[in-house]
Amino acid sequence: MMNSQKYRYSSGFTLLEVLIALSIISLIMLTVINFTQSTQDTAERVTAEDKELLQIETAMSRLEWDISHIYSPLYFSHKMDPTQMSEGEGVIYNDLIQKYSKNQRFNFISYDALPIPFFQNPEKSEFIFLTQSNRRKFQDIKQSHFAWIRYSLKTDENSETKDGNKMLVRNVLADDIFSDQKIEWDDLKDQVLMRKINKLKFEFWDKKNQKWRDNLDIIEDGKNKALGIRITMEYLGPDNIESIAVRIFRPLFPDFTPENMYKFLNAKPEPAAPPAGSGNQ
Amino acid sequence: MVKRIISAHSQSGFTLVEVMIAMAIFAVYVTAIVLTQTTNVNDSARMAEDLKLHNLAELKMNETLIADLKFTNATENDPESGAFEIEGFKNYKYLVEFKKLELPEFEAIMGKSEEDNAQQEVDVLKKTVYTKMKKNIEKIIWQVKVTVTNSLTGAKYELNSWVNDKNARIDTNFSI
Repeated sequence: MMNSQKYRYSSGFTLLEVLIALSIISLIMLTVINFTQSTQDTAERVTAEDKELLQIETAMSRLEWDISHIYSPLYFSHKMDPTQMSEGEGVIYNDLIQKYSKNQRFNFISYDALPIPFFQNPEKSEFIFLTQSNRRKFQDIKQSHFAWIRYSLKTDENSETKDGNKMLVRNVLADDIFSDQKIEWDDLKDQVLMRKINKLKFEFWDKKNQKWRDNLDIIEDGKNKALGIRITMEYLGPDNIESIAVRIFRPLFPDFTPENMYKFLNAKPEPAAPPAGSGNQ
Repeated sequence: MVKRIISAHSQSGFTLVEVMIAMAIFAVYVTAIVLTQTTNVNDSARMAEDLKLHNLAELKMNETLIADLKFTNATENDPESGAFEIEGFKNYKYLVEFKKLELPEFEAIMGKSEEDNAQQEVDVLKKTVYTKMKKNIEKIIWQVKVTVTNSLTGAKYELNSWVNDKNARIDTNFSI
């Protein structure tokens, strides 16, 4: 074939050899590409699944943060009690309580005259409460660490299927929280925490009966104080597998029954002052 | 044609070393790919399992901390166990153990003093106060440990915390 003088004795490859070599190389290349491709696919799938898995963790940690900072003066004080007040105080009390009867956010006063917020769950999937979890983003903005927060389920407009077409939405009101006006939640910006949800249920701990209840009205002081909140969420996890998440969150305030302060106030002065540390717990 | 192939075959192939080097390079490549793939999947599965265990342990712990528990001397030897009744988590078991908190004795912290009488008197006072506080604290505070186990794989997760006995009445009489 190649008959140049220099390489007279050396022979090149035949067409067949080249073809065989080519086909072997292409086979090897195919497997290699296959390998690489599948590795990449798995990596991508795993990342996507992890993302979906972590989505619920992110949403739940948001909820946990807000609920752990839930605020009510009833955690460290008790309600104002007109029956144990003097006449002069009673007049002031009547004046105050009239104002609170019209208040849409705070419905009572604590012993130390702090307004007591009332928590609401108009629907099983909705919870409205006052929390201290707000963090001011700009200096000199008229906000504190207090905020009214609502968690609720809304229909997801982008969802193509009916299964899992709801999303968990968080609304925050951090301005003018002590106003007595009703909060217009629909005017506030929606923060979507999670999609592909079927069901969400808030339950509240009833200390008296040692039970979980889904209605705040039947719990003693339930509207003014939360001791524990159980959240049950049915959602579509990775690969649209139906999953359930159950979490229990606690407020940071310890469960503490304050001493009746009127007992000290109305106590007749005696030679020895009542010791301050005689409380229980 | 046939003749030529045979003659080419008989001429010279690769040496053993060459073939082995080629194979080694290829093997390294393949192992690397297979390893990354399995670690990806394994890491993801482990993370999912860890999260599940952690969340269940936290759930059980919060449930324990919220409930009004009655503490008696038997509580310590009577761990609470069972399986979760949540759909999809039925193969997870929990164990809640309680243990009394034990503070060290006064001597263990301070050592024995062999100084003058005045110092010893102060120490007696200190010891009385400390012993009283020790008794009170041990009455109120309990240790709680929640262990969650996946009964299929045996994977475990442990969570520890303090729980206070809400019915405990402390002794405030500090007179000696």
